[in-house]
Amino acid sequence: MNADVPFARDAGLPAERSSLAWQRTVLGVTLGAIVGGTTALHAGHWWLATVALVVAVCAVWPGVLRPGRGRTLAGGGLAGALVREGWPLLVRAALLVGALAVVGLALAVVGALA
Amino acid sequence: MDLPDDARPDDARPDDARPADAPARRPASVYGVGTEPDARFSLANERTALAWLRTALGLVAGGVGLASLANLTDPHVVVDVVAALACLTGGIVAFYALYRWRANERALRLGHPLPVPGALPTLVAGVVLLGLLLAAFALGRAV
Repeated sequence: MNADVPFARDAGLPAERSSLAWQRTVLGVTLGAIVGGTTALHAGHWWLATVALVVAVCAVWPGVLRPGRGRTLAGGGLAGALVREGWPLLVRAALLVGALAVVGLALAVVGALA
Repeated sequence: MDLPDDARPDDARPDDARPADAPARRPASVYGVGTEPDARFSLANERTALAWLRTALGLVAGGVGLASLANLTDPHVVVDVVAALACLTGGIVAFYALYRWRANERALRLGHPLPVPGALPTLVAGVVLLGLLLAAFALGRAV
């Protein structure tokens, strides 16, 4: 298929599937951060709870991760989807998952040493 | 590197076909090579990277859950060790997702075969190992 040919909607809905994949990921990060933060608060580690809270806020803050924005193929054709690339968003999402991993690791280490 | 015209996929087009006012794309090591693939392929690559991220998130969430369990109930060092290993593995997989996205996008732009996901067998073996460790621990406590 030629990318320059405009069309109303792609049958595979790739932009919509990508938006949903982003939303699932953001939701997962947020829920994980809430669980980790709640446990940290319960165990009295306020600094770990603060990190988890920052992760949760960053995951849902539109300026950090903007799932799906500007990616609708139906509006601008295939070229429209190429204007915004996913790399910076992927890096931020990976950093949030890494921060959550640090929270979990710290909880486990603190628990093992207690 | 540019492909000869007969080796270029039908739906590929040169990167300079993008709008002139479009911002420069990062990373340059990816967007500085090859030709523009069909956007659907790039979006599929992005979803694959997100699937890797969610795999990482699953490991991290499992680790956080186990650590929470150990904090809230009768703690045992084995549970904490498994939780720590799961979180550590999840953190590594999260950054492997970025590596995979970059390798796949470069292959798409250059018209090369997609690279083999070499970490997959290691990841599966690690998850099975963690599962067996937890199962052995649970059996040991039950007996």
